Amino acid sequence: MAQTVAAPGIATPGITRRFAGVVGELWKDKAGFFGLLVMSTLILVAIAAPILAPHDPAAQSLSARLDPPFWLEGGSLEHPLGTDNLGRDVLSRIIFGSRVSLIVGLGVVAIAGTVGTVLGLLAGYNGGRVDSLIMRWLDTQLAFPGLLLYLVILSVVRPSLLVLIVILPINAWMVYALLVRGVVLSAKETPYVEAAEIVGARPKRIIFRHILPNLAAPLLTLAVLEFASAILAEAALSFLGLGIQPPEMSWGLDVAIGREYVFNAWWLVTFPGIAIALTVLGANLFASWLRIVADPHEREKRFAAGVSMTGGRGA
Amino acid sequence: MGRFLLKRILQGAIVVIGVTVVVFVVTRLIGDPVRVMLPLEATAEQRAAFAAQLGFDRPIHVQFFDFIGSALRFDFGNSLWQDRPALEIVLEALPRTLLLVGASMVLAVIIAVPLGILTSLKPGGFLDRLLVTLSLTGLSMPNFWLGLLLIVIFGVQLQIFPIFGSGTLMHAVLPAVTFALPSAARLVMLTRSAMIDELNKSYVALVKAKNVPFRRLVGAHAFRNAAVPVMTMTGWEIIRALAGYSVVVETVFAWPGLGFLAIQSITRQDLILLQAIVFVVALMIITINILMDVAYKYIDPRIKLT
Repeated sequence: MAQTVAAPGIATPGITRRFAGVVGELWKDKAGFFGLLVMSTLILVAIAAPILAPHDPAAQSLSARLDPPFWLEGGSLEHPLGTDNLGRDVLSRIIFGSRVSLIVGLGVVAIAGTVGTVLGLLAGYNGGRVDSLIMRWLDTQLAFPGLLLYLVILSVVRPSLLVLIVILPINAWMVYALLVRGVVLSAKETPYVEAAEIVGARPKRIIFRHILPNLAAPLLTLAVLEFASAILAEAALSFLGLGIQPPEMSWGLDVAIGREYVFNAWWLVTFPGIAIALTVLGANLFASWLRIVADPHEREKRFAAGVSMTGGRGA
Repeated sequence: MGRFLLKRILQGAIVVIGVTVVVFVVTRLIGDPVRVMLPLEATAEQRAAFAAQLGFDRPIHVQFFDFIGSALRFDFGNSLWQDRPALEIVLEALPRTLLLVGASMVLAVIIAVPLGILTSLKPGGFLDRLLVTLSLTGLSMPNFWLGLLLIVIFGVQLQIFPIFGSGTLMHAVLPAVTFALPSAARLVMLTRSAMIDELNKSYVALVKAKNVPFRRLVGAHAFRNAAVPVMTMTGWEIIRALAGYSVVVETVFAWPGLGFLAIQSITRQDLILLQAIVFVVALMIITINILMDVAYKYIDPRIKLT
């Protein structure tokens, strides 16, 4: 019980110092920093979309149809990234489209993460019949053609933002459950959990106090990666016409609109696609940095590598 | 081996029945098939007649057993859109998808394995960093967008390849590359890390000490072991392509395979055709899974099948 005493008074300065340390470490890893930059930009842009967007993203203008980006002949700074077939401003649509990506990403991660973590904890901690039931279910569902399941559902349910957030976790929860179960199984074997059990700690306390902290780092990393795949899934479904429906806005939908004009207006497919790719790349880079920084073993390796690379004494 | 196969086939059968049940539940209970398949302006009499014709007016449990039974006999009924057996349409499209997926996987392995081995020889070197960055960037692109970019560059600007449809072998190039690039990116990363693991093992030091030429050390010793995870991943890439990417990529290029057919069946409101596609794809995925497990046994005799 001793460890619970070390609390509030010392924690605050420790956290600020730790935060400063994290930022400093992040700056050293340029790729990870870029990832964090992209993700914070996405959040800022999504929140401040009405202020940032130069035009109403839905405003049509017959006189300004298919205007090219400003650096091409016929383009102007009025529409920096050009306009689409109805004269709508591409840049403004990308800015507003970020909202859908962010909401879908967060919503799917929240639902799938919660369900997957709870089931993974149940399976890993209880073992026995619960475990084999959940694992059987997982094995069966893993062999299931995921996207086709979405297609079947979307063929009978009218697609919308809410529908996407509800159906995407149907497949997405599995990775969380597998990860959590694995971590719990290995944490259960550690001496400190065994000690807690011997002392007579209740299962609830063991799970929340001793096992969950082990999960924080890998779960956070997985959540960032899954955030990216939810965005990709939304974009793909919207592109296929089975996701966000017009007049709502989404990057994938805009690529689909631009597809009709690949011959004379390449910018319509290009820019929303760059927005998707950049967001996903940012999340991937941020996640791979998180994975290394949050894992003590990886940190050690990296430190050792840093010492030997600078011609140091360590190696 | 025989017991293992039997067990896996049984498991597969459970999945197939599971797929069928889910499809039934979604299309008949969550959705109303009559409303989905008939145009909005259809009258009440037309709806009733349609329901009677396809048996949707029967009690739900009768429909259920009938549905499962006929699915297991591969009898899905006639496609509403083309008015001929749905299975026939599916089997026409299937080889086109298999051609595309097969060609792209060969391409992906040919690109990825040498590059992965090359990068593993000097981790942290210039080539390694370049390829890892390229792979990450490639993986971040949505595949429909990658396809469209290839269309813009090679079809519209350079006009080297035809961009829509199928017909000649040239038509297959862009869609196959679109399939292959992300798979190749994942395979490069995997081959790299598997090879780094192998090259750090102690037997490699022994082989080195025996003065075996470096080329032989890498090719005949290290890669033979690293090949197991690479083959697993390739199998998963095939499954991924069949179960998901084919829908997106084939739609981008209007390639008349299973994936494009699935999208068409949705826009034509043809649930019967969609059910047949889902069933056949599920069956294929299970078959590939079993084949992969059996292949393990031959690649790595240490693996015990249970």
